[in-house]
Amino acid sequence: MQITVSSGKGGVGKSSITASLLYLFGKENDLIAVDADADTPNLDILLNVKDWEGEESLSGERVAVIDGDRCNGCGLCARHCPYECIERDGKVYRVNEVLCEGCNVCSIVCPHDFVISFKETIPGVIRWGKTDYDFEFVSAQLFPGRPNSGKLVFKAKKLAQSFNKDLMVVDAAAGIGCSVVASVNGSDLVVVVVEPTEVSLSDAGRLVKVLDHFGVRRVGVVNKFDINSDFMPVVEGFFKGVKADIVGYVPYDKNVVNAMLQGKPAVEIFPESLFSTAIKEIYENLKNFV
Amino acid sequence: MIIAFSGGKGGTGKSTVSTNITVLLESFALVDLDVEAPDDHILLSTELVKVKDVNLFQPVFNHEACFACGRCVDACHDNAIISGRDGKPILIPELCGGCRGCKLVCPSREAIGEGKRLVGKIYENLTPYGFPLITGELLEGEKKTYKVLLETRKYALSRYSDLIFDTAAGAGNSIFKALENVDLVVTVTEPTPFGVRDLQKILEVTKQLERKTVVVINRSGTGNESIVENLCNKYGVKVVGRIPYSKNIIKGYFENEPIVTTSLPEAEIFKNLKDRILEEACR
Repeated sequence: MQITVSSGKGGVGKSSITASLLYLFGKENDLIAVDADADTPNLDILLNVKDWEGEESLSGERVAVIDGDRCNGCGLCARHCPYECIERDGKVYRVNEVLCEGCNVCSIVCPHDFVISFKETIPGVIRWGKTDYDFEFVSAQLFPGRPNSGKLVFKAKKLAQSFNKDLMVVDAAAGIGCSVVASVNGSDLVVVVVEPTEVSLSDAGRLVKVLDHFGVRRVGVVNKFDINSDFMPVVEGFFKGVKADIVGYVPYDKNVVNAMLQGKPAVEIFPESLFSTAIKEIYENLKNFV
Repeated sequence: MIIAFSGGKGGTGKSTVSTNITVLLESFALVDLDVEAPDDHILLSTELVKVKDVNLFQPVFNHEACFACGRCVDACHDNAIISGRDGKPILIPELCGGCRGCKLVCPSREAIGEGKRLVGKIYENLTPYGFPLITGELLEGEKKTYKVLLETRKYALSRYSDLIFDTAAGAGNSIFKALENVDLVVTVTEPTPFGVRDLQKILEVTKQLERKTVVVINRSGTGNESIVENLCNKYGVKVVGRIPYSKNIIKGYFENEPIVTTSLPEAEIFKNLKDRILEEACR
C-alpha cells in the first residue's frame, strides 16, 4: 500500500507532519519511507539516517556536447533547442549542460557531422538507509539546477518497492509538476495538507485536479488550523467539495520548530504537545485505510 | 532591471516579500513564475485575465505521405513515437515533449503536420496597486513546468524592462532558468535546518549562474540564525534584511492585504529592505 503526503503549496508543514506520522507508523507496520522532494529533500534531517547503505545514480541520461573546434557558429542549434540551453561562446556555440535534457534536436539541425555528440550525465542520485527509527528510508536527491526530478522520483519509488514492505509512505514536493505526478502515481491514498489560507486552498485545489486525473482517494489535514479560525468553514467546504474527509486538525505549536532544530520528529521528543496529540489522532484515522 | 525572489524551501515567504516589495517599488511589473502554484494574484486581490496560451508542438501524422522510414521513431528522445504494424508512426501524446525532432528529420514534406497541445496559460493584469502582474500557470495534469516558465519569462521580457520575478519552491531546472541573467537574486529563507539546507541549494545555483545574490531571513528570531550567517559567509553573500516573526505580517497575509499599505511598524522593515535591495541591484 502507498500513502503520499502532498499539498500543492510549499511550506505548509508536510515534512514535519510526515516525519511524526512515520515515527508512529514505524512502530506497528512493515514500513518504508520515500522523500520524493528531489529538488529540496529534508526529511532525512528529522529521521536521522546515520549511514546511507547505498547510493544509485540516475543513469541513462545524457547531454549534448558541441565540439568547439568543428563548430562553424551558424547558430541553428541554439535557435531550435527546445530548452534554450545553447549559448553563444565567442565564435562558436556551447551547450549549458545543467539544463540540457539530451533530446536530439541540436544534432538533427547541425549541418555538419561530428560537431555534436552526446555524453552521459548524472542529474541526481538515490540514497537509502535505515533511519533512527528502524525503518528503511529512500531519498531522491537532484543536483542543483538539473532536470528530470520526476524520473528520479519514479526510480526512488521503484527501489523502495524492491524492499517488499507492506506500506510505503511518500513525502512529495511542492507544486503539481512532474515530480508530484510521479509521487502520487500508484498511491492508494493521498493526504492533502493545507493551512487555513486562500493561497493554500488554491494550490491544494490544483493538486486535487491532478489527483482526479489518477482517480486517487484523498483525505485532508489542516495544519495550524487555529491561526486563522475564521477561515475554517471555507476549508471545511473545500474538502467537502473535493470529496475528502478531514482526518486531522493540527494546531500551531512552537514545539514543531524546536523538534526540527533538534533534528527529531516532534511526536518523539514532545509526545504530550498539542501537535503530537493531533498527529496521534491522524495516525489512528489513517490506520483504518491501511 | 530584473530582481528575482527565490529561496529553495517552500513557504519561506517568497510571495509575501516579493508582492510587498513590488507594491513599494511602484514602477516594476511583478511576474509570478511559480507556474505550478501561482498565488501572487490572490495576495494582490487581482482577477486573472488570460493573454496567451502556452502550447507544445505535437506531430500530427499523415500516413498517406509517410514513407515508413522510421526516422521519427529513432529521433524521439521521449519514446513518444512507436511504429505501427505497417511501419508508420503512432504518437503517445502524454510522452511527447514537443521538441520537434520528428518533424526535423522527416524526409517527407507532408507526413508530419503541426499539432499542438495546450499545457499552460499566461495572464496579465493591472493590480489595484497600480503595477502590472504577469502570471504563468501550468495546467493541472501537465508536466512541462519548464516550458510554461520559459514562455512566461519571455512574454514578460517582451513587455517590460523593470521586472520582479517570484519563483517557485525547489532548485531544479525551472528555477535555474528563472534566475538566468537577472540582475539580483534575493533569496528568502527561514532560520531552520530545512531553510538552511534549501538555501544552500539555491546558492549553488546562483554560483553556477554567477548571479549577484543576497539573503533575507524571514521569521527572524524563531530559530538559529548563526547557521544561516555561516552559510552566507561561505558563499560570500550578504544578509540584507531580517523580517521578524510577526502576527501583523501573518494577518496581512491571511487577509490578502500587503502590509506595506498599512501604517503598522512592520511596513518600515519592508521599506528599509526595498532600499537595501535596490542598492544591491544597482551596485
